[in-house]
Amino acid sequence: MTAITNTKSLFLLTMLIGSALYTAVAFDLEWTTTAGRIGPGFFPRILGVLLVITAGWALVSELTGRTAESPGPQEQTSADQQASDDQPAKLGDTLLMIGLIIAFVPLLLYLGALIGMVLFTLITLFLFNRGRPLVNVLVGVVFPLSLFLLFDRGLNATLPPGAFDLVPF
Amino acid sequence: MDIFEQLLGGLQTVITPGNLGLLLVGVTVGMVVGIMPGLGASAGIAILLPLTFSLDPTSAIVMLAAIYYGAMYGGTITSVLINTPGESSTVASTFDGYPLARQGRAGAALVLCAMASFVAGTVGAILLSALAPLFSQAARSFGPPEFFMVVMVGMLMLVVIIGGNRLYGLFSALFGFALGTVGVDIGTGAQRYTFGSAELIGGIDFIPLAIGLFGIGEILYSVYLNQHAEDFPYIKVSTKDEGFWPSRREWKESRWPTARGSVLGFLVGVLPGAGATIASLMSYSMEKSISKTPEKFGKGAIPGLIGPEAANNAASAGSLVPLLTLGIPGSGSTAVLLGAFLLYGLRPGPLLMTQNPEFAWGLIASMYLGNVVLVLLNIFAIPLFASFMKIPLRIAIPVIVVLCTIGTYTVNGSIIETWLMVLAGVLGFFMKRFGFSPAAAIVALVLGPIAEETLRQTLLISNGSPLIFYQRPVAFGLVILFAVLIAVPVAYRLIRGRSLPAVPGEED
Repeated sequence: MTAITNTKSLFLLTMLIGSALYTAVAFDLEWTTTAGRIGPGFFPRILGVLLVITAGWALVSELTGRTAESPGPQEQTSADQQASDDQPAKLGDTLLMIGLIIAFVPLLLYLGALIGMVLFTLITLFLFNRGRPLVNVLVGVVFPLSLFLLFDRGLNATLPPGAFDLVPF
Repeated sequence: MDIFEQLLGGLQTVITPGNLGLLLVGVTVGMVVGIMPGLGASAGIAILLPLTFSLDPTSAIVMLAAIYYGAMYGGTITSVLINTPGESSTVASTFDGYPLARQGRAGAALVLCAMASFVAGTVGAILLSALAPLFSQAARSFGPPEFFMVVMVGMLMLVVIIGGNRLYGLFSALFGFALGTVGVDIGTGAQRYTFGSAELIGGIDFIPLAIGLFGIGEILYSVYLNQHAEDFPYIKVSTKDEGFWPSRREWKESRWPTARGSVLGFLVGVLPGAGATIASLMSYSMEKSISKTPEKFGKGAIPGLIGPEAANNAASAGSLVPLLTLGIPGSGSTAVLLGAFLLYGLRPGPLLMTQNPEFAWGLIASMYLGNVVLVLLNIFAIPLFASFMKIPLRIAIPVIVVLCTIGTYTVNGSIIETWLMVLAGVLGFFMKRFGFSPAAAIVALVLGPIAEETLRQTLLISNGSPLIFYQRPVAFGLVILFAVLIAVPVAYRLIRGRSLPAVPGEED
């Protein structure tokens, strides 16, 4: 439970800091124009103050161990209960997935759409779907190729070309 | 022009080979999306939105809307067969659906659900056809003050009714509003939160955010819940099974729950902020309370399954009333649909039905056809769709991530937007993990600029005086409603000493 509370508090703190920064910029914008009409800072200031209040309230409630409202739906409760064990495997898998997704974007940028998609799909499948190499290769090649053909040929959409022209067609 | 003529005109628009093909694609994708736990209708619509840019607006929206109501059908299959709702709106279907399946009545349960969904979806489409023009006419007298209050009331209803922590729901909505302020202020031309970036001058694009929050965010959350490591054991269903078709008694038992669920579901769906999930749970409570055998509920009672099924399908039609006539989405899915409308240059509201009748009536007409296609698919292709559950999530994950990423990139060819989608995905995961509401954030992102514009216009009309909200009867009524929506949970807490119970939210 402590691990979740700490992570949650950190998230709430991040939200609070973000809200405070948003509000600070809002106060640099005009509240009203010289003509007396609502200025660019009108809405943002109201929103910013409310964001800071709600984020602060949520953080204080979390740190003092009181939730502001009644328990959430069953899914949330069971997820928190599962997470209360905070088995490293689940969080580890999530972080791994996040890392793979972040790495996917430069793959697309530098290797182009087709090779990037194939690499990402294969790597993810071999990491998460172990022991099924044939399925992984089939899905890892067929799906990206189909999607490439759909977007590039079928829809004439713009796909990342890559830094090098690695795909001959 | 009367409703019947308008509807015929709409049918003429839809009954083309292309549109029928897109309708079929939409309902099929909706079914598949509904079947897969961890992926909601909002994710399906957001992910496929970029694919529709080459289509004309009516065709695109017909397909996207088909995904929305198709998902209601699909979510039932997992609820009944593996006791896991594929959609939040099919949670209630697990209460009696899975027990029925355990008793060897899985086929019968699914066939009854398909028929109830068809009847309710058709009733919903009929009521939509009748009420949308009336709402539209009433809303024509709305001015900026009324529209501003409608947006505020709609957002507040979403936050009050939404599942989980209301404070977090409020923060999510404010966060969405804040994101909507990025870019150029329409009234003054001043840049806000652009920090000198040319990319941000146009504001934060809706699509990367929607795809990130709903697509990537849900995938990450499924991984977090370890769903990728599971192989769902499911109960095999075949049309050749002896007990596949419902008995005469079961058909008879499902009649009145279907009728009641249809009407209740539609009325609840009309309320901005409420939706299919709340409608289905209310229907379950109602069926149990009026049943002569309430002790059977939770053990395979037909009314306990059929009532909610009808309600969630009728609610999906009902939620299109405020969307089409007022431009107010009530859930993540309808917010994404609204985003799609705006992208195609369509402005939902009182004038939509008169200025774009072929689009509005084409969409409504497509729902009649869509429901016919869905009931046939559901009854005769149940085993095929059920087999989708054999595909482990760990195989679907990279497929969905690639679709999300490439789909986002193809919109504007922008790598910045792709990074934004990734960031939104990570944020969406943490929001779901800690009880915030990505749906409220997306709804607010879409409604925020509308709220600011209407407030600006209101204060312009009234020379800066807020009294205009009290001088106009409809606006004043909405102010009262706003106050009541704030007061009720507070009063409940003060009187009972605990909070007003939250219900599972309309996340999709």
